[in-house]
Amino acid sequence: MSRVNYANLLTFSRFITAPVYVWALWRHSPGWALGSMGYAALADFLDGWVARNICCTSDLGEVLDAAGDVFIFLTGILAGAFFGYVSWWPVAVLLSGGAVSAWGRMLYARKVGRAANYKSRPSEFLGGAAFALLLVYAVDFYTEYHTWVLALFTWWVAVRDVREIAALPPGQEVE
Amino acid sequence: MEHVFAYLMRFHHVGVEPAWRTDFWLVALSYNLMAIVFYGRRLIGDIRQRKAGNDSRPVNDAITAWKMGLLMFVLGWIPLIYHAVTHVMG
Repeated sequence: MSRVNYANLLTFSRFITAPVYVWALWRHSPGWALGSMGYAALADFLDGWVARNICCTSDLGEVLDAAGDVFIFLTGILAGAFFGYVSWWPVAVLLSGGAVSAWGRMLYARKVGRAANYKSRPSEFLGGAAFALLLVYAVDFYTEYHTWVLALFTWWVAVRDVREIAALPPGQEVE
Repeated sequence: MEHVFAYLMRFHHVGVEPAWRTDFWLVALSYNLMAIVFYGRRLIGDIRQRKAGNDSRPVNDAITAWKMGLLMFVLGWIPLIYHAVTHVMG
């Protein structure tokens, strides 16, 4: 199957929202920031739906989807700290938890022997909350509080997921 | 304790018009209510799967995850209520 398909194009279009979001934070334009993240959320929903119901689920699509989430979130949160919407401390704690989580997922991909993302309910919650964090940055809405809460949960989930992944026998995938 | 609360609840005054926050409060409220519906459906699905014995996760994933999700959700409401009391109604 071709790597260029509607689902992957939608996923790829999400990458473009990150520079728009950064520009919006720089220019203090909440409308553009909220709009760009609104599109990112819509495309995130649609690419999965298109892949499952119309065409083309693939390992590449799955990895691209996860990479898109990480890219948008990482760019957004760093821009938030850089432009003064939040202080660096909670951001550093949050990103270090994210790094542990990413390491766990690399461990999982190695265990199952292919480029697969480890999906767990807690990490799904974090995805929704991370998206909300970029929304609260857009309007400077209790950013310090939200970032600390998400940072603590990120560490909790990272440790939990890594323990689960470590307990899996080699080759076993979790659906 | 007061200092911690003040630190957590401060605004950064980076140039965002305060009116945006009041409008956004409604967006945040809607987002939370949508989350109840979206994750509520997932929870029902997880409970059904578990009852049917199809929970393949190694460490009782679904149910403990939901306790965590609930705590996260409750914490998410604190600034919403705080903003309602201090800015929307106040």
